Amino acid sequence: MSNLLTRSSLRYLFNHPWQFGLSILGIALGVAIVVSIDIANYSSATAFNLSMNAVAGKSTHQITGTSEGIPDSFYTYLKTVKGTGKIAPVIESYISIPDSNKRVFKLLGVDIFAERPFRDYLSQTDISIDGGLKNFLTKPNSVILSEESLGKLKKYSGDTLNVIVNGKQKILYISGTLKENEQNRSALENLFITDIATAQELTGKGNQIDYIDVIISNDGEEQSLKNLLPEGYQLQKSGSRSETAEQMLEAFNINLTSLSLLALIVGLFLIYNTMTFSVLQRRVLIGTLRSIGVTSNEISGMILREALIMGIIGTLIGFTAAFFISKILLIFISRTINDLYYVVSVREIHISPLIILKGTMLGVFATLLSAVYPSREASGIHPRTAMIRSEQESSLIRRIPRMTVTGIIFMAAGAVILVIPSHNIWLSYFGILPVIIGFALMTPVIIILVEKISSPVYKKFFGITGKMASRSVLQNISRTYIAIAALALAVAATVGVGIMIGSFRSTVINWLEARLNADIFISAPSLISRRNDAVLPEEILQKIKTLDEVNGVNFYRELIQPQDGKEYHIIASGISSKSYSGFQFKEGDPGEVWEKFDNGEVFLSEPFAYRYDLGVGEFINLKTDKGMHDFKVAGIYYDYASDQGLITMKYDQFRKYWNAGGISGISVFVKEGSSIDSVKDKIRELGTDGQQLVVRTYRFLLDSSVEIFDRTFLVAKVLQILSVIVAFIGILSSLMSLQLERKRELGILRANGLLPSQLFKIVTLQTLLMGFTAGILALPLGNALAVILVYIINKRSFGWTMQFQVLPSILIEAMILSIFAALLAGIYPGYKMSKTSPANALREE
Amino acid sequence: MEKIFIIILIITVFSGCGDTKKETVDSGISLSKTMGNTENSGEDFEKAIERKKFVFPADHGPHPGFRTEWWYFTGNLTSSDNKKFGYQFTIFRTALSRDTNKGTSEWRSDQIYMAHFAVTDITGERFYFDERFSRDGNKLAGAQASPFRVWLENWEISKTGSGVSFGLPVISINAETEKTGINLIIEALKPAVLQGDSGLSQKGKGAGNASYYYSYTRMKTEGKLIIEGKESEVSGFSWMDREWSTSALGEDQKGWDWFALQLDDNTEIMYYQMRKNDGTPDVYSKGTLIDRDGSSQIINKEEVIPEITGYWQSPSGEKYPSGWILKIPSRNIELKITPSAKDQLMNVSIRYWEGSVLIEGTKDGKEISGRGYVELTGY
Repeated sequence: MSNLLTRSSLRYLFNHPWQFGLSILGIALGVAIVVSIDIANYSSATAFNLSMNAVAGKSTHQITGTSEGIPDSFYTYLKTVKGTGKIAPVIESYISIPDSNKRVFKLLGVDIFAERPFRDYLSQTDISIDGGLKNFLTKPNSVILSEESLGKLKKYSGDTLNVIVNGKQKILYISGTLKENEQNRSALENLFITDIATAQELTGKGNQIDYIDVIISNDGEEQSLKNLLPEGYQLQKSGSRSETAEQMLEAFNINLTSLSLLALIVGLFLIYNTMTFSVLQRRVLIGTLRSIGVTSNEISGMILREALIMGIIGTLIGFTAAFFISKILLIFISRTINDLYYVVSVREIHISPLIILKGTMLGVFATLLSAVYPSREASGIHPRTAMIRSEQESSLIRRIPRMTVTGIIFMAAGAVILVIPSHNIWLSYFGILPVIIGFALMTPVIIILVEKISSPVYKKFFGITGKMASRSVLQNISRTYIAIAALALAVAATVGVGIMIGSFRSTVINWLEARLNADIFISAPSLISRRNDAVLPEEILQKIKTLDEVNGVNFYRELIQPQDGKEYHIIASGISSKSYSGFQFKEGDPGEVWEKFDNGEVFLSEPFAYRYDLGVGEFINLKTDKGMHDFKVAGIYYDYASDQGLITMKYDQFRKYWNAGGISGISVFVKEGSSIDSVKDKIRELGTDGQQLVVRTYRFLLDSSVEIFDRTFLVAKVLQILSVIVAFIGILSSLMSLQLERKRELGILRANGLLPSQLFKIVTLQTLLMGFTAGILALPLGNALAVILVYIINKRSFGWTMQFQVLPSILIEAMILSIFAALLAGIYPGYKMSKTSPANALREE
Repeated sequence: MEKIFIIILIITVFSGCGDTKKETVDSGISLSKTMGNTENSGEDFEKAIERKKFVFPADHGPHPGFRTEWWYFTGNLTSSDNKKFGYQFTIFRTALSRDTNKGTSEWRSDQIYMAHFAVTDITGERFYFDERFSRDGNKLAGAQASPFRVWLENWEISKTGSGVSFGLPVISINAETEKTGINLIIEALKPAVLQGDSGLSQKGKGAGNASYYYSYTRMKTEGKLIIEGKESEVSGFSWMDREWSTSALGEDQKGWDWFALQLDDNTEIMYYQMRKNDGTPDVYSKGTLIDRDGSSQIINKEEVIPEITGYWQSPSGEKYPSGWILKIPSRNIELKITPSAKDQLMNVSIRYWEGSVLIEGTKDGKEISGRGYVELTGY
């Protein structure tokens, strides 16, 4: 018997290659999107960890010093007086190469004599006594790098290389190469190794090192080493930097994953749709099988088996596609990470077993799950009623009131979940799910309503064919509603994400306009735009102040303070009172906050206050160069510069607690009547000793900030488009099935004199109506999703308050998208049906 | 005349801490090429060409104009409970260049230091050794004549107290590893011996293939020695060698066997035998006899008949001589030299055998015994 069923299954699938193929494509795309996002996230994290591991080597701990680093003499003290065993000094910085597509490398300054226990890849060098080693240690600006890096830079040992380190142009000399192996290739790829002396000279760190790597084998050693550390120093575990990075990216990654899941949900609608159709189309066949003794369990097994096959094939194709898609996504994602978080260079795809497991679960099991209902339906087919074609439709029509009520309940439940006060992003996304299901359940009732209105309109404009088209949407509601719901969902996602990005963008632009209230902005070239890691010498500030055309300056020093596995971004602000208006306070009395600020209290940015749950009047405990200190919070201000959050304090107060010198940024007010451009040129000339200054006007800075913003959301847009493609495939597949199933009906119409062009018209009008209905549905749902994204998801992910803003263009675009997608999907089935000879259509049954 | 192969060692600074690298280093680079007067000496280093006047304490300090230099101590010690020990502690200096353009960093340096430290527990038949590298930058290592101090991290040879004996301050040596440590006070009992031709020690063919070389051949030694956490009060005699040069080995020389023997009659013998590539002794082999009063006489190669009485094979397969009969008929001396322990292999960046030896034999027909150190390189 099972042989019979298998053959029956196969015959059906082979006779409907389009339907079969499109379903698999839908599954494949859904899986591909989810998996590729996973791969991209995982690859960037892995790349970062690899480079961290390459830097950390076998160290178990690190000694970090004050904001300036650790003086050389402290290391010597540990080595020569205390005889501390396995320790090694490290300087870390970044190098960018102007002629190499602005590629960024990590500069690692080490003392090779202390390296033996730490970074074993250093043994793999071709450095020889006659040249390399001597040059490495004694020739200024000597570096060694991996063979692969050399290859990519088209350089050889002995060549020179123009680079920028900390905003200064330098010429490096390549004194040797590191030989990589399979294990460390990607880790070494972006590494420039240099002697600690060279690193100090290149980075201008004076007599300071960044940190000391340590290998500790027991708690006793740890404690005795801790006892040797001065105030402000810390002994921390080596992995903590990777953990910090993971925390930074957590919200970003979750949001990407969720967007990818949206595509899968759309894909699931598609599978459900296909399986339902396949059951519908085989009602007579199934009825016959049942009447010859096939049990209902065997029927449902047959349907599930088909779903399983499609799920497996779709998943396999999905994985293959994911491999390619992830490479593209990786470019966007790593750029965003570099824009916002930290320097990472991702060149390889990394896949974990978990990703494969998750993708397989989603692809295969979700397909099976979505086939459960159709399979139950198939098994419920009674041999006697199998011949009654309208049975399916009437059963759905009967269920509509119940579906609608269930839908409302689902949506309400989703709303309840969403308003539960929580910081958990997953919970919020989980709350969206019932909203979507509820919405899908309400689709049939909306279709009925739309048809009621459109039917007379269609009749009036398109005559009898119009009415036929309109009625057929309703008549086939069990088949059309899923296609409409899938399309509506995809379009709604576009609307939701579009409104969210639009609101975010306009909020950020308003904020930037208020905040950037000077004429010229100066900073050192920084590799991460939202993390100012390079500083300018303080003399430049003095020189700018003395320019005749300058009316006033603001400046700040940004410091990243590692503390307890976290990184606090501190802004030490030298702001003049005329720029106070640039700060908009969410909490704290604007009349009082500035006086408190002068007295040493701090401002927290909104995301910071949200993340650490702090309010005005509370204290934040910070690790300073003078030990731990409590700072009182004077105000919470709106800020969109960093999702990690910022602590702003007065510059003078900052210098009481931290030694860090230098200036991160300066903003200049130009006297009325003076030319901004000429002042800009004058300032640019102030950069001496190879110090590069980034001098930007208000307009330029605003534009480049918005550019970064747009770049950040590029991934979201790509995902949006992919979701729409899945939905398009869904509606194409539904329409194909629908028209195929109506073959006989249409054949009769043709036999009765309906022209092929009229038939095409009916099909087109029908898809137009479906697209329109989907559009009508998508608008409220899209707005609802936008509200959820803006007020709940974004708030919970990053703590940002945004001004909700609906652009009419987004809504119009959505409607056009939905109608256009439907029409496009209707062309082929319409064409095919109109070409079918009525005799064939009738004979086939 | 000791390990002049320091330059090669620097290469291995880069290698991991395991023993795996050593084979490649040993076989990959010939000792004589590195030691010899090769293209590498294009740098403007000074050379030991003419006799010089030794000036103390200045010459106890570093000679950065020469490429390599070392402060070398060996000694045989006995604990208060009559256990026997040997030790070697050496700090080497090598210059990568004579470039005076040093840059701005405290770390910038062209002087590299290496130290070897070994303890032989003769009674317990155990041998411990360790090696360290550093640079003189950031004061991590260095040498100075006054106050006398040579150090590498916390391994240190330094003046202690105010006593001066035969031109050398009383010094302390401090070194420790995970398993062993020494803390010794050392005082010269005889004046410095200027080796070779008044301190100019020719090692190979050609002018400049020589070093400046002086020794303190008998030094009173007292202090503490720690092995595996167990501390012993020890006393005995040390031997100090000071040598600096720019190039020494000739192309046809493979290595050397070096003997530093302290006899119970308060005399000492130093003898080194340069070995050629074919294993035969080179004409530049030479030695010194030091009398009770510190006066010394040169012994030439022709006067000495060394006979190997046994061999020891290292775990990696090299065969080292292990036991000798050293005859100096012209001086009426015949000594049987036996390693205190077979395995005193310095399995560091460059492998060599350096160990404490026991001496028995006759001198002028009378029985004599003593203790000493032997170094074997290039095997």
